[in-house]
Amino acid sequence: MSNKIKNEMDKIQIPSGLHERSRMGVEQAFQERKDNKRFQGKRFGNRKMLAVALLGIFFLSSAFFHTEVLAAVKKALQYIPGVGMVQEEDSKERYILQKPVTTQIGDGTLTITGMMVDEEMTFITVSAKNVSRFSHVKAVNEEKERFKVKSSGMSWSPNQWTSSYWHDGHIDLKGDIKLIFNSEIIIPVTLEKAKTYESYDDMGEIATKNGVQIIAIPQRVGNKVQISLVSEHPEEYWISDYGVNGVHMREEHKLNITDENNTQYDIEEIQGISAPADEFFFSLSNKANETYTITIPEIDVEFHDEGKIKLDIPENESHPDQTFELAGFPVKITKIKRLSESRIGLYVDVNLDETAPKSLYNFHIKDMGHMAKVNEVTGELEYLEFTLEKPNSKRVKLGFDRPRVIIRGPWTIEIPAEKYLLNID
Amino acid sequence: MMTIIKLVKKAQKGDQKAFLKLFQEFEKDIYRTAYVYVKKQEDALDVVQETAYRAFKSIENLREPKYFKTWLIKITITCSIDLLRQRKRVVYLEPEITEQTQGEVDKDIPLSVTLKDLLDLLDEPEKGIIILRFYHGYTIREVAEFVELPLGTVKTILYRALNKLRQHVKEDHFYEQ
Repeated sequence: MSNKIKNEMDKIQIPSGLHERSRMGVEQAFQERKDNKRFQGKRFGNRKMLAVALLGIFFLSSAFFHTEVLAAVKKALQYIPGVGMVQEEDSKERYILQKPVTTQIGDGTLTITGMMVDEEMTFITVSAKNVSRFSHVKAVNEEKERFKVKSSGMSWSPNQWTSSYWHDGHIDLKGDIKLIFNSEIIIPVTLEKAKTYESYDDMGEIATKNGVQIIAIPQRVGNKVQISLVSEHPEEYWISDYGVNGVHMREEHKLNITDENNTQYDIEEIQGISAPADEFFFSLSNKANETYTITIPEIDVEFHDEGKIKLDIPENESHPDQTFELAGFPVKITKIKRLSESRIGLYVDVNLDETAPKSLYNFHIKDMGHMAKVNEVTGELEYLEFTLEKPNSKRVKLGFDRPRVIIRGPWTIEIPAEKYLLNID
Repeated sequence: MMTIIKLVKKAQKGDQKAFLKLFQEFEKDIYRTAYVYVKKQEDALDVVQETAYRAFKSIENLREPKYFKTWLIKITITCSIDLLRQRKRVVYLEPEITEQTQGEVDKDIPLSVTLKDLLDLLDEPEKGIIILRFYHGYTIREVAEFVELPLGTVKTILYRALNKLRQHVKEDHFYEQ
């Protein structure tokens, strides 16, 4: 009997980019293993952390700090729009793209959101909507020399994607250059020397609450304001959401922008889906000397912490009332239900406190596929379902990780137009 | 086999080239497996990339290097289902078992089963079992171990999948012998 199913599956054509995509996946994993960084974020996405790792960007780690202390510390800071903050002892010469460049392509758009060139590397971030993805980009300098820069990571959703392109080593790119995608799409950009700052005070406006300092770096782009958010916080977690859409869709606690008359401004997000969404636009008002206020009611963070528990599995169901700790918060297992010989349901109480400065609301079972149910209003985890390794087991050891915590603000940041936004391009 | 074991051991020590050599040995199979689930070239390429990423990140967890391919296929199927979930396409994770079946389920694969039938007619559990049995060549017992379901359940799903494919075939009285 011949295998007709195998014959049919063998007819599936292998695309030319297959080899390259395998290489990209391995390269990403290799970089993370090398830097010993735990990859966080959405599945099939969030390669922004890779960018951070590549650039050696890091945040100050301290349990608590004060604006005055930070301002007093001398350091060389450069902010690279679309990429992030670089902090070094001595600043390097870098050429960067100061403002994003958007090009219409058919029914879609492609935006060069950031670019950085220095003696060690070239790094480009791109986001696009309704445009095919590209595995590399060619950069052409003023002397017409061409350089190929390969994709180092990509994140996507059905109609849009963001990608980073990286070259290890120096490329002579500065001033007016061209970026070419697929030999057809030619985008002129201008790279300028990155400014170096001694403190965050010089770069933007700062607000501090509950151990988290958020710096808003404003920049005028035509008739809009681009805001980039950078944060400093303890190393024990990373920020996954500033609440641009509301943390876990809690719309009443969304990041918002108002002016002196309390008029609300619509936020236009930078295209792309990597977390956290930390760069966005809003339109300037007609008033030249306006002061805009950015209010961040709460943020979503993920701790680098794990917990574990041993549970007796009942024949039908039981109420163990067992507790374990995760990110410093107690989690109670209130009920265990045996759904089948292998399938187990776990009811949990994360004790979400809407008034506390910090509150756990979600987590994962470690190294195990599982389903979860969350409260549709509060977003708190209520139920987990998983499969036992050995059917009919009477006991199970579970690990838990990726605890998600809401840290409450508000962070209120004022942006005076006079200081940042008056010069027209 | 010895080469695979050597390469796995190198990869487990962080040798990127060794892992890539191993992975690219199986990448076509991985791509085709993913394609049956996600049905789109770009999505299948995404699955391949994600599989390569997850596999190299967790290669130390592979206790028996000789099962490297099986381990890769598991990751591929998980990634495929994750992508379908993310795209919010309906994913049936729990096979509905309405009957048990005895006897042979391998015979009489319809002569004119097409790729389209495989893609469109079968749900995710059925696809998984069909792919593991007929594309990757596992025995039914091995498939049951792979998907962590009882042997009888796997036979039932396989029988149901073949039935679906059979019913869709136009009249054709010629069977290969």
